[in-house]
Amino acid sequence: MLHKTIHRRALLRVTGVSLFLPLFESLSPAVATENQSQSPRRMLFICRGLGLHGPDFFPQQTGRDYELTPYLKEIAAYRNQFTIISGISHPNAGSGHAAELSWLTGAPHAGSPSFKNSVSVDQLAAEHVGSATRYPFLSLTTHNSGLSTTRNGVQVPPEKDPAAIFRKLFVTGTPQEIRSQEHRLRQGRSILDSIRSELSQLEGTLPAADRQLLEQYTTAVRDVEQRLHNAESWMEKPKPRVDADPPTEFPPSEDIVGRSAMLYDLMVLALQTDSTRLITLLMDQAGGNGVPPIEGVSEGRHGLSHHGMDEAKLAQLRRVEIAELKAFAGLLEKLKSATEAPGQSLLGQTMVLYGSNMGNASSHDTRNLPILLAGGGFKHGQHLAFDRQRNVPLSNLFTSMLQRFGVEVDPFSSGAGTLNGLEEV
Amino acid sequence: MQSVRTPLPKKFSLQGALRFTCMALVFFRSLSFGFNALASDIPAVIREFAKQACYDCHNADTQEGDLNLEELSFEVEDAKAFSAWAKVKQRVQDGEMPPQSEDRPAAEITNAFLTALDTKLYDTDKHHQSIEGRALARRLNRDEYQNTLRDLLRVLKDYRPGLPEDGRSLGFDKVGSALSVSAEHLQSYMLTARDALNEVIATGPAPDSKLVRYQQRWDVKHFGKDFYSRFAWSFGDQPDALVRFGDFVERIVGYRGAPVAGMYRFRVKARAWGGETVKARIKAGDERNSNTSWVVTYAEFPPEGKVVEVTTYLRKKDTLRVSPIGIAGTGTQHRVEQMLKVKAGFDANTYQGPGLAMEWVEVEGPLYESWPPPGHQRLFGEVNLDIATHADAERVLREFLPRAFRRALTQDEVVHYVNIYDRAAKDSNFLAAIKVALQAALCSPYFLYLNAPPGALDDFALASRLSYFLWSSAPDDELTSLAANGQLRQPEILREQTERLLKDPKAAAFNESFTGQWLDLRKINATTPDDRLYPEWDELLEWSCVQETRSFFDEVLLNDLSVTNFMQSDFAILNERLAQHYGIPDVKGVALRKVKLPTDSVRGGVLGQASVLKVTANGTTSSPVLRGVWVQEHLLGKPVPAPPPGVPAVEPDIRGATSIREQLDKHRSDDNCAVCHAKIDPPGFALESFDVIGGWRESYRSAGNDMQNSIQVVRPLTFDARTFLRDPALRGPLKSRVAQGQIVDASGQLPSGESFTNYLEFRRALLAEPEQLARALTQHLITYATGTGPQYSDRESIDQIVARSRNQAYGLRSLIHEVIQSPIFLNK
Repeated sequence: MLHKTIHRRALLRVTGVSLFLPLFESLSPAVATENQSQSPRRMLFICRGLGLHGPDFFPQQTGRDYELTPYLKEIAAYRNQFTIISGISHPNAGSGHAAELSWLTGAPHAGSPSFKNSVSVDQLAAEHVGSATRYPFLSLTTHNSGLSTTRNGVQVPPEKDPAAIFRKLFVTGTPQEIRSQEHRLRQGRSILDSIRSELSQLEGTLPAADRQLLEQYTTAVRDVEQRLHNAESWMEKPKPRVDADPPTEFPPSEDIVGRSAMLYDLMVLALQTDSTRLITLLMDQAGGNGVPPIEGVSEGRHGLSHHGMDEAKLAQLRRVEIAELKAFAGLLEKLKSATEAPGQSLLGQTMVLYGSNMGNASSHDTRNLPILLAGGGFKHGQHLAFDRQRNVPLSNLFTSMLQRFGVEVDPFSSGAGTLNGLEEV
Repeated sequence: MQSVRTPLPKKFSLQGALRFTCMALVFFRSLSFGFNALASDIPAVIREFAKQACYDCHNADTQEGDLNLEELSFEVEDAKAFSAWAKVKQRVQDGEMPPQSEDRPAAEITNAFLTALDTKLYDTDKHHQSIEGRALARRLNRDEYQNTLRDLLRVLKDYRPGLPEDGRSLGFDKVGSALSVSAEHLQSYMLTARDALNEVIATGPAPDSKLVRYQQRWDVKHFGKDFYSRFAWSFGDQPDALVRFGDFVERIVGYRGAPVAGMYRFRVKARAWGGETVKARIKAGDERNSNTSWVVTYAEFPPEGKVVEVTTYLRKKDTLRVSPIGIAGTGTQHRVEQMLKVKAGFDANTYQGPGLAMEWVEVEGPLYESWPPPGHQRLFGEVNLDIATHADAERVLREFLPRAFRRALTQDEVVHYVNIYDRAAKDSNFLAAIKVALQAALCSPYFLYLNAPPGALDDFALASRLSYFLWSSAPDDELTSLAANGQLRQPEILREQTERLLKDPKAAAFNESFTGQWLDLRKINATTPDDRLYPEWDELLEWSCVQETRSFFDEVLLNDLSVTNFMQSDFAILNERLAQHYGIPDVKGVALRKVKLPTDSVRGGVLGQASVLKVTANGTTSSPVLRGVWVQEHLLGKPVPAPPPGVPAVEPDIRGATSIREQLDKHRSDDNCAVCHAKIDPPGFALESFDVIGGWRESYRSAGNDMQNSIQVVRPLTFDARTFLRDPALRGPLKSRVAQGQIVDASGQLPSGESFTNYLEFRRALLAEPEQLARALTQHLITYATGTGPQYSDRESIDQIVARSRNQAYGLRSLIHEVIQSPIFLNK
């Protein structure tokens, strides 16, 4: 199925036997049922931890006939493939940088000493994907922190080393790696066998009510066994191989544009090969202190974000952010030109959320977030403007996305429903 | 903590029957279908009463309250029928049914009905307990699992974040029916077992443990040039110290985080900057991520300086984070803007407002008792991992398994695990193979479940029940050896062991878990008070009010004080911040201590404590209904049935137009509502004098803009930097104005008919019945200790516990002893 429905560009070809054994940690939950005649939906979530200067991003006019702003001019070619959303944010997000932790979760009061995070959109969707892809999701970062959190509100350790990500996706493990993974699966089976034999011994000795409780455990053993089985079948399937050279050196910390561009390329490859359908990327603040290698820029990215409306700083900030939007345009171009099925672009199947956890990075304001949604089977080409005083919950947009992805979901997190005005194609 | 919706309890539970009324009522309908024949099996004395008193309304046509009593099955062996009839009995016994407005059968008919029904229910439950046992088997909850790993393997890391959250039933995460197991659980148990074994098994040389002192000065190399220019306002550089004016970048200059996971000792030398003593928050964990760092404590530093020592576990790269609090505003935005606005001429190096001058920090670690560490030695003894054999594996497992399973093992059971080792050893070295066997043991139902056959608990099961009650962890060697010798059942030894366990530091787990759930302290941050209405709420108050209630519980427990102290006490456990909040003078500093309260202070007892008052409100408003239900269930042990479906909640109007009392009065004029609300509302009304953060109020605060009628609210923790920068003479805390709404009316009438006009009178009325408090607490302790709520036929045992406790003036410690010595505790 995998290789039939994906019409990859020439650079991709499937080669003979190659094995990659997923780590036990990444074993995915229940097997998803899927309509095989349709190409699957995908979602990308890209968060810019240091904001995006609003006046250069948000159009003045609402609806379809808005005038392009300086930033949007960089992606004008895809105007009908994206929607700009204003007047949207997480209620009680908390202040500043900490809110990147809850950008995909909507958990309130990030950064407060008693903050407790909740499940992120991508992780909820990953449960739905199950073992249909080799990896249920990828969580990436340009520096340190990531966007994906488990149902317990624990951050999934993000990956950032492009070479390692490339190896994980496309390179057969060394015989030693394969042996140790096989080994680990065998040990998992051995443990499950042990539990099963103890459960059956116990069963005979227990009163009826207690037996019911242990039946749950027996079911759990069976479910985990199924997951091991899925993991094994992925082990046996060859990894897709791409002719692209493995990424070499990750640009230095301050080159956030170079770093994100490199990760964008990997993200496209991962989607094209259907290695995963869900990717999150946080361009976090950590790289913010160094001066980006961009002409006319002499201050660090983080310092510039606190421009305090100083014109000299704003001018530099614009240069940086425009460079970042150019990189984003590159991502959209790759997604658009990759065809899935005749007449169907990868972009058409992929919801791309691009934005920030800060509406005004200069004052660490977490309302009125810059949010752009591209692709993924929605009617685009407009500026959807909501009340800037009384923002709609960002989780409404997440609810719309989850539903488009095929997850039957009640309003996600603090959402109250789907996002008004965003229509499916 | 989210509580799960639990199914109708499978066991015959009195509390369950009451709590699940609503569901039970729905079940009446389904049960009644086709049960005509069965209805005639009802004993005559019961049918006679029902015919006279019930069928008029509760028949197949009317089914008032969704109850068709005419056709309700009397096969009470069925759990649903049982709880339905138990409910019927309770309502009649309490005089709620038939309604006062109806003709009631003669007393002897009613009594005969109650006796016959009671006998039937009692016998049925007794019989059920003899066959099935009283308590369900249950798995360890997340805390117990963590503590058990800690004690079994001597691991230090907190593994709880990797485990699914536990369900709760009857208020506790100890109840078998709510502690489900799924594939997620099993998978995290498998991973955690592997990680914990990796943590404890030392394969390398001893890590280098050293002590380094880091002088705190501005260091451009350390912070980065750009950063300094940006946030200069946040730091002042002095010849011997770095002065912090906020909690930006809480790094220790020069320190790069823990080189390896382990215990570390920090000694922080700092002094208050700018005059008065400064309070500080001390956190440990990830330097950048507030989600993976935790508050260790709050401390204070005087102008002359002080060394604060903190020993804590750190993961690799974790660090200690020390920051002054209350320096300038609360939110980041507030702080930054405030300071930047006055940036012209502002120099952090000469600024004389409050700050924390950090002089140096000493870091020592990783600390370990021995190498290999104790956990490794306990696991492997003298076994040399490089040359170990099958015989060594058998020796290791023979030692380990009884500790893990908390009982003696048969030879076959040991062989089962040796076989796992042997199979794994075919293609692995000793260490890898023994790990598989150990990992399997840590995923075994014998490790994960607390379980015993029906009847009296054997000594091992008793040891587990005792240690999971008081330590939330496995029995230690002393308990286990007493169990192995068959001595633990002796009442005197059991009493001695109870005392020993209560005195052990591990008993802190009992305090945390029991108060965390009985008094809902774990919900302290479930809501954040609206900062326009309650600007004085701050992180120190949140932390302190939880400490207050925990310390209060400890005080009552330690000194065997009467449980009536939970309602009224002549002391409180306070620090400066709490005392400010309560308007009690002369308490200084962050440390909590026992304070004698003035006569008629509203603060003695948990209902006057900010923690309880906060968890029973929603951050913006308090509802007498919700608080009333809370008092009924948590303190008086009288669970209140859920409202009938389709009844909208009564919500306070924060614009202040109509009072909640007016809304409720309307509500109570309906007979159907009045039955329950006559019980629910009075405690809620009495507590209206306390606002959502536990402050005393004469009037409600209002979200309106009418500042004609407003009060000034002082934020004692928070320094008003803006005013200070304008005029240093105007030094002081930040103040705000909040509009006032309607006057509070805290009067009410108890179901007994007794009226009260305020909280103190209400409290006095409740104190007249200390037995009710003792009985309620007994029921909670039984649920907590046995993992199963009070059952129908438990009442003699409960009566006996309460009666004996009365002889000891209802002392809490005595009560715990009585629970442990009771048949309920000693049997499955």
